[in-house]
Amino acid sequence: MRISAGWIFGGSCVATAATVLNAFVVNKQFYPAIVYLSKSNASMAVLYVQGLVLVYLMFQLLKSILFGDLRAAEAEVNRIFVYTLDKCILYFQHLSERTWHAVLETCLAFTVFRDDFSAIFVMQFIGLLFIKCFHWLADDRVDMMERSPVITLRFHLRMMTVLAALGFADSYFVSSAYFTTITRGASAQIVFGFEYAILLALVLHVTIKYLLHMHDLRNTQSWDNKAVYLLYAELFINLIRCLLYGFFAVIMLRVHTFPLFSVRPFYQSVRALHKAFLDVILSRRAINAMNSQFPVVSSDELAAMDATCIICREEMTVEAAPKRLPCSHVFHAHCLRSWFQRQQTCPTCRTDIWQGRNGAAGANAGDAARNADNNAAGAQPAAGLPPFLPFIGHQFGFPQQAMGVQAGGAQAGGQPGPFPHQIFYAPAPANRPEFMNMMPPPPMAMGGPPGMFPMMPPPPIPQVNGTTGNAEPIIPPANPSYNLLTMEELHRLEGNTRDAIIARLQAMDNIMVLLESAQMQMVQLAAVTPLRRNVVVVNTEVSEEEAPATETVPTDEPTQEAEATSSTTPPQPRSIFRDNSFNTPQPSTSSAPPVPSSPSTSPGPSTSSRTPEAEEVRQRRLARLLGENPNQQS
Amino acid sequence: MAGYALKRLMTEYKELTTRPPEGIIAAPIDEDNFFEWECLITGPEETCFANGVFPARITFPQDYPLSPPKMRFTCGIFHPNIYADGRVCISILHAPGDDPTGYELSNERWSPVQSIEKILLSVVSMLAEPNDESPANVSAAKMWREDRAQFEKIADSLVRKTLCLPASEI
Repeated sequence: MRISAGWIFGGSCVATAATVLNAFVVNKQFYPAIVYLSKSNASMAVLYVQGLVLVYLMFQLLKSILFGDLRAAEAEVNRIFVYTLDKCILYFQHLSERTWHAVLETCLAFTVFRDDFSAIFVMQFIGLLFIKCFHWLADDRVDMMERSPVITLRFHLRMMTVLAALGFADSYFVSSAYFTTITRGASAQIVFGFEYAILLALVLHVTIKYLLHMHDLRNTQSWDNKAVYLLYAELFINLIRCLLYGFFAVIMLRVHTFPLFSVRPFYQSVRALHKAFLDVILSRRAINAMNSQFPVVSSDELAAMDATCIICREEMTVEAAPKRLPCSHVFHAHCLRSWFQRQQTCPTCRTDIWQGRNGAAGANAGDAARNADNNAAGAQPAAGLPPFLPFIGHQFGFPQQAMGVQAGGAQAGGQPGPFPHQIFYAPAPANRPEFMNMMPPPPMAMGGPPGMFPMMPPPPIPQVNGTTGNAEPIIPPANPSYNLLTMEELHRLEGNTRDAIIARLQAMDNIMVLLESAQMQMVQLAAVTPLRRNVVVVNTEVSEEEAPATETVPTDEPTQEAEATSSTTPPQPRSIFRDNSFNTPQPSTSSAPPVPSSPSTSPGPSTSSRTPEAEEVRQRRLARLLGENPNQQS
Repeated sequence: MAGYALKRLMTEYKELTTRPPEGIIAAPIDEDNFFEWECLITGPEETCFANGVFPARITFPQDYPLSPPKMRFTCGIFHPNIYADGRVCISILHAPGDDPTGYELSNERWSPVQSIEKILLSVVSMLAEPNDESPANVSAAKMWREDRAQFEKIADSLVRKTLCLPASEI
């Protein structure tokens, strides 16, 4: 049952006219009539209402000049204002929250300075409300720039005028409040001053937004960083607001009492600051994620699929650098960024992007391991670890990866140095992906170019023999990347449980196998080197012929030594672990792809001292090494 | 360059006008303001809302499509998932994160992949199959469960009202 504005105007004008006429009729002369009017409370009330109505009319006039017709959302503000007037006239009727709080707080503020309460004061208060309304309108109007399809020149003209006028008015009132306070001491002007200072911050914010929007409008391309700038502007303005409120509270505490009326806006601006801060952090995180984690889709891939970004429904081009998520959905980078600020999931399938990434890392590690296996000896299932030793499996993640490494080393012509390293580096299969994130990527192809082969320094075979013979653990060289481990993980690495010790022994066993193979390689090297002097081109046939030859003819000293080593190797660790369930699967040797037909041809002198199984393994490995080296050379 | 949300709304408007889905009409109320849409939904066949044409208003937030729009039926409609004031309570219109009802799966919630068309189709299927597990209008849900005949009678009178037909034929 809101009384319409027209009725209020009409009623007010009639009442004023009646009061004034009455005064003149009663008093007949000008001066007594004025005295009568100012002495009579009823007449003064009517005149105040008339004043309000006039101010409101002026507000409407200014508004229609500066803003034109209001849009639906803005009309809300306008209605709020009408409601405020209603409230002034008709006491608490349909008041909207924003104005209600503004009025309430200002009234509360004035209770502090009740000595200053006067007609001028009320007028100042109403003027403040008007100007606040203009600020809110300007804020809404600038936000509308982003939503409106057409921005006319008139809009810009109005906007600039409004901003300039508001900025000027605010600074004027701030400075006048400041000088009043300086000259006449603290009064309600402090409250006005701070209100206008905060409005000035709002004007600054609106101006920044206006400039950003305008820059965006002038660009034909979409400006991706605008959202980021807007966020930073909001953070900055909220910071200023918080500082202003804090400053105000301190001053009020020193001059009067605690400013109760500013608690709510202070709390609100702190909350807004907090939110802006969180937004900035989330946005930064999203940008980092965008930049570092998700691959850019190439033009070929774009051509192969439906190139519509489903967030903005526009075509993706290569220039926009669309990104692929781990779940293989593709979006614009800026679309994704603004979405990731809210939700860290894929918009299409709602996969958690962090989860997806970890999973992918695990899968990549698995792939890497598989590739290594393929390089070495063919397909080996990635889950080659004993399932009940997931952690130890990682710690001594030897089985398939180490074999892969071995193969890589073999291809490169034998680099015994880094082997122990890589044993501890060997990527765990998919069962410990999160741990994988801390570890450096698995060393894949670690061999140098084949051309380096002859220049390789001879490996220290006697030392290796010694270590193999005593089954001493080889201490891996200190590795800088262990700095990444946390204390807890270091403690776990100590592993003094039964499982850990068994796995450790197993790892030693594996190291031994590696050393053995390296040794064999050196033997081969020694055998091949004279061959290379004579025969430049070594093809696979030659190497197949060679295999038994190097094995059976113990001409070279290293060969003999190697044989001796393998025969003197204490079979103890092997016999313990070869037969139990912790046994290394020996992946690379059991499924070597190009197995030359050598195994049956070489009954070496030391064969009798070995188990037939071990002998066969050795033979195959030898054959494989022989099969690979010439390939590399040719 | 116009705003992000505006471009997307324009694209959707174009799509909806070139390939309108059956039984749904939607367009901005005013071409100056793409953030306020009006739509007409025909009641799904073989339900108590069949043949009715229900007007609704969709209000889009400034950061659409990152945030879901709001939908409100402007005719009085009696349905378990529609509040008495016409607001539609459907999971597709709820942003993930906050769960006002505690019943909704996150994969039914809003995501930028959704569109006006999908929202309206979901609303049509909601009209056909009310979800009385998490009602917005408790009395409607209760009636839907316990007194289906009465519910259908009310729905029928509503359909007649939207079609400007007399209250009852018998």
